[in-house]
This record gives sequence, C-alpha cells and structure tokens, in this order.
Amino acid sequence: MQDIIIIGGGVIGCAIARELSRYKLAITVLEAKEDVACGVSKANSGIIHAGYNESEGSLKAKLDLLGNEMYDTLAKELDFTFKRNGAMILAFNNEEKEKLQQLMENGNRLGIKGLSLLSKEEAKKEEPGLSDDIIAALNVPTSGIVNPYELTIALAENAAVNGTTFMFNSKVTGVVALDDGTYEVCVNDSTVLHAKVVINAAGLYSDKIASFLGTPKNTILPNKGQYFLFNKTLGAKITHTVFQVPTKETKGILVTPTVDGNLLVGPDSCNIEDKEDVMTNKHALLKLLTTGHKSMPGLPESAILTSFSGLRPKTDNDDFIIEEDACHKGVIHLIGIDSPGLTCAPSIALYVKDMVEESLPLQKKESFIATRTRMKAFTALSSEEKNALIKEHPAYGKIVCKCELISEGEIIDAVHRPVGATTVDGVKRRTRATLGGCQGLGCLYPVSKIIARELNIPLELLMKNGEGSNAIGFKEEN
Amino acid sequence: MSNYELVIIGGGASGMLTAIRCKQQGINSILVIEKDPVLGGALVSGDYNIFSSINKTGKEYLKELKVQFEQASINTLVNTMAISINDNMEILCTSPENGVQMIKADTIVIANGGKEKGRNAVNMPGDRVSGTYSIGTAKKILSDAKLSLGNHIVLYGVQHLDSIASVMESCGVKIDAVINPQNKAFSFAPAKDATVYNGYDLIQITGEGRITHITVKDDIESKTIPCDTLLFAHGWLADGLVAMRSNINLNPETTGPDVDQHFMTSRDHIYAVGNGICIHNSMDEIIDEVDVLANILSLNH
Repeated sequence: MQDIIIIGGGVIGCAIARELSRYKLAITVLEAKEDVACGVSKANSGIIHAGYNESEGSLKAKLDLLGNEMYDTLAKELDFTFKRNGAMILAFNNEEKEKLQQLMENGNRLGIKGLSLLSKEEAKKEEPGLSDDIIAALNVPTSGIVNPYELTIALAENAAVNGTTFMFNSKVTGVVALDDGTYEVCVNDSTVLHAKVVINAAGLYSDKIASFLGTPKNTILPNKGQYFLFNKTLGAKITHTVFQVPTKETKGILVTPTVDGNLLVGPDSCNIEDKEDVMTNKHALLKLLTTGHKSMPGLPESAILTSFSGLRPKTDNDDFIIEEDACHKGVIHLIGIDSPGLTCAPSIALYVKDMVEESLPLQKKESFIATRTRMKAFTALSSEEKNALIKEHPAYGKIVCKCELISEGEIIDAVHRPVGATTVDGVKRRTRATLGGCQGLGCLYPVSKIIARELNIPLELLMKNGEGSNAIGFKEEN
Repeated sequence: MSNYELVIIGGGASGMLTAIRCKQQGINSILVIEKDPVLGGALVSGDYNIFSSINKTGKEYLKELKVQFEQASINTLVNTMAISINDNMEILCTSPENGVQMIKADTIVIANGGKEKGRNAVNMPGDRVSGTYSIGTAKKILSDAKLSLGNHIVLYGVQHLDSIASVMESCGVKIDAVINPQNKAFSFAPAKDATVYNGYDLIQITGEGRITHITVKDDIESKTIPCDTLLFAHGWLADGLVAMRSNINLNPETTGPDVDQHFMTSRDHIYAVGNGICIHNSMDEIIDEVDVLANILSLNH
C-alpha cells in the first residue's frame, strides 16, 4: 500500500513528489512515457513569469507571485540554472501603450515588485537589439528563465533520493474507489497499485484520469504553440525576455535568451484535437519568424537550429483547477495547468501538500536531503578540476559531442544517476549531447553506443524516446 | 608545457600529408593531434576512389601515407581532442590518457576536415522522430553495428553517395525512393529500382516515435511517401568549430576558416588546409594545396 500515488511525471507531479518527500510517506510517481518531463513540461518557453497579467483573486495570480519568489531558494537547493533576467513588454502604438499601463496597474495591485514604464530610449538602452518601431516598454525585473526539463529532472532526482519511487512506461488505465476509502490504480491494464491518496497531475490527460472516478470535470482543450530555437551567437545578443502585448491565447510572442545561451522565439497558438500532435508546420513557423522580427529585427534564418512545438493543457476555465474530487476524498485533481504552470510548480506543490494534510497526517522526515548536485558539465570545470576528474574517470577526457563538447563521462553519469536516462532523448535532455550545431548528425551513433553499453542492452533496442522509436537500426530477422 | 615549431590539428589525409611534407622541407619539431584513436580521418573508412587523376581508394592511400609518416618519425597525440587556440598560441587539448593539457606552437595548421551537412530547420519541419540519419551514421549502422537500416528507405539528396555505395551493396540495401532537389543526374546502384522525385523538396517529416512517411513537393504538387528510414545525402561542409572557438574569422559559405592566398587564417601564424577550409573535389586538389602550404611554412621557418 502506497500512501500517495502521483499520476504524471511532469514538472507539477515531480514538484509535488519532491515536496511530499519531506514527510514520512510512501510515494510512487506513475509516468506514461519513458522519462520525466516528456509532455507539456518538455516544450515550453521556460519563463518564470512575474504574473502581471493574471486576474486579481485568481489561483494563478496567487500561486504565480509565490512560485516566482520561491525560485531563488529552489535553484540553490537543487542546483539548476535560474536567471532572473527580467522581461520587457513592448508597445508599438498608443493602444498598446495604454495596455501596458493597465498591465502595470494590475501588477501593482497583485503585489508584483519593480514594475515600471520605460520610454523607447530607456528600453533600447537596456536592450539595444529591440526594434526602432517600439514606443514604450513595461519593465518587469522579477521575470526569470529556467530550462523546464532541467528543472523537472532536478525535482525528480531529489524526490527519488528522498525515497520516491518512479515508474515509467506506466500508463494509468483505471482508478477505482474501494469501500475502505482507499484507491486502486490500474497500470497498463495489468498491474494494480493501492494508495490512500491519489494526485492527478496528468497534464493533457488529467481530464481522462478524472473521468475514471466518474465525477464530471472540465475537458482539456489542447492548444499548440510552436517555437524556433536559434544558435548561441544570437543568444548572446539579448538579455531580457521580450514580449509583445498579450492576447487572450498567449502571453504574447516572446523573444528570449535561454539559460543554455540560445535564443528562443515563440509561441504561437492553435487549438488542436490530438493530444500527441506536436508536429511543426512551415507556414506557421514563417509567420512566427515575422512576428519575432517585429520585436527584434535581424534574426537570420541561417542561425536557426531547430523548430519544436509544445501543447498547453487548457480548459474552458481561465484559472487552474486544483480541487479534491467532489465525491472521493483523498483524490486531488490538477486540471488545466497551463501557463504559468512552470512558475507555479513549487507553489502548487505547497498548495497540494496542504490539501493532502487533510487526508493524511504529515510527519517530517529527519533524513530529508534538501539539496541535489547537478551533473558535472565538463566544459564548465577549471583545468585542475578537469584533470582530477579525468584521472578518476578517464571517460571525462573523451569528447563525444563535438559541438557542445560533451564527454563520454557525462553520458555515463546521465544513465546512472537517480531517475537516470534510458533513451537518447533522455541523455540529450540531461547533457545537451546531440543538441548543438549539427543537431546530432555527427554524434548520434557514438552517443547511442555508449548509452546501450551502459544500459547493457543491444544497440537495436535503444530508443530515441518512446516505444517503437528505435534510435539505431534493426536486427535482421532470420 | 610542450612546445613545438609546428602543430597540426587533425590527423587525416591533409594533416598527415602536411606533416610529412613539412618534415621533408626541414621543419623538425612537429606534432599532429588526432581526436580518434588512429590516424587517417575519413580515409579510414574510404573504400572508394578519392582521386581524379588515378584510381585509388582512401584505404589504399592511407597505407602509403602511413609508411611515409612513420619514416618521417613525426610526434603524434591520438585520442586527443583539440578544443581551441588561445591568444598565446597554446592549444587546449583533452584526452582520457593525459587529461587537459596546453600545447604551445610557433605555427599551427588547422586540418580538421569536413563534416556532413545537416537538415535545414526552416525547410524541414515535422515530427521529431527517429529513423533519420546522415550517410555517415547510416554507414556506421551497417558496417560497425551490423544492423539493418529499415525496410523502406528514402534518400534525400544525392551527394557523396560513393562513400556508402559498396557497404550498401554488400548488405543488400535497397532504396525505395530518391528525393533529388537539385534535379541533377546521379547513378547509385542501391537506388536502381527506386522512384526518383527530381526537382522535389522535402517539406515535412511525419511519424510517432519512428518516421512513418514524408511529404515532398515540387512547383505543381505535393506527395506523401511512406518510409521507416530517411537518409540525408547533402554533401559536406568544412568543420569550423576549432577555428570558431579560437576567434578566427569563418567563411559563411564554406563554414570553414577564411584564408588568404598563403592559406593563413585571420590570425597570424595560424593556417588551414584541406577540407577544413572547404570541401575539395578530389585528393589531387588537397595534395597540390599541401605542397604550396609546406613551401610557405618552410620559407617562414
């Protein structure tokens, strides 16, 4: 019997797992895909929003303000990269300038610190690459950036070290309420787990999970956002996250540096049906590029590394839905956790912890380890550190990914860490191998060979990501 | 710190040949740095003719070069990656055996060869699936891993196919379709029964996990082609990474370092040669270039 089953290994599920792993509880996270951060958490803007455009009195406004403040401490404890780089929202005409004024007033009412209106000259002094067509900008110093999957992996690793069990390729196919007030959770139509509390953090599929218990909940209406990622030469040309004035669908197309030093442009917004549809579309991407140019001219197509898209798990309700199931005590649903869900992950975790406390007594664990150390990034070390490391583990001296200078030692570490990588994409997200200028053209094969060797599986059974995505070749039958 | 008169970054055809010629011209203190465990670079797996004047494969030529290289007794560091050159002409290197080290040189020649050209992010949207490989990776899957590529293979581009032709033939690989954006003639035995889409371009990759089909388009129509493997044959580009990290000006056309008529880069005493500057059509061209460079270096010596 588990005390708590968390359905979903995205940033929300992992943040809740990490928060609850402070207490004497048996916790299992069930993830349908092969790794954490494989859905909504993997592909988004990576912005820790200030929250100036949230509605007063909403859950989003409250949790955004708190979550944003929690990031400095969280980043120190879990050793992931967090930069409070600040944001600017651009106005290109008087109507938009008026909107900036409203956003500032709204932000001030919500208690967001440091908001100020900048003239064109002031804005361009801070960010020289901005368009000459702007007439004003809202300065938002508390806005920040993270790498969303680095954050999710950090939360998961720390939760695992503190005793949380992670089960991957474990799709929940049923939840049944038992007479004694506990729950049976069916995995892959076969295994049955048993828990006192069930937390539904299933992102795009949170409506489906809720439907297993029969209580009507809001339907997820997936909405796609596409992005362009530019190389680091472009990333060096900008420091702030630059938004255009928000629309109903998005917080405005942004141009932002990433914590890894690239430049990101996106997202657009498109309602779709299929929750697995993350295909990018040339027409939409070209439109996006034009919008990006409006904020920051001179984004050459030749500097684009790749395009990708992510899905927003929207509902017809503008706010987050974080509620105990109306008919089932101990079942907590988190539905419609779209933007600013990343910002709110740590504050949502606290909010859910308080809800759990109503069903289960929480006793602090003295053995809780609050800190986690990031993987050794070989290039970030000093020569002395590198030499000491290579002496101990010669594999750190063997560079495998030439573009990003990732060593064999880092790939080995990515596989053997807590909640280690089991796929090529898992290693990519933990090390950046295959993510550089050549996008894996040169190193896919050597990287795959190392992963297969460390996992002790034949090369042909190594997957790029999910089942059926064989990364390297097939065994000839016969 | 070790100190050499001449350090050559890259132990492939250009690097080995530069070392041999410079030694013959009287430069004694030479070091060749090679990232792989053995010398030879692209020649190591070159089972096709690389000359225009004669008929000789890369492997055959490597045998000859090795004999000359050993006779010249040139210092080499293999399994060692040169990362960058600092302002004091010191090369930052890393290797599993020796860790991180700095090697100082009076003169440096960048001879780090070429790399395959990747997919253009703008013109290649779609799903992020497995089953898309460069020709180099496909060759390793067949010859090193001894695995099959897939059952329905589509080739996108028709450049530098000679490097994989014999491996594909010996493995019995058959190509279903060829997307030939440049609409130029080609002959490639594994594709002799393939449907050829001349003048079409790839506009979308689709699949869940593994690639399942692609969409191609010409001026008139678009077509869907089912496949489980897509091979990119887009030719090669110079590998300008070391030059880039060493603040050397790059040529955006070739992606290699910009060089003057003496093969000197934008930094004094740093030269480049071979496919590291731009992709050459044959070994003959590289031999001529190395001869000129060796003369220049020995005169400066």
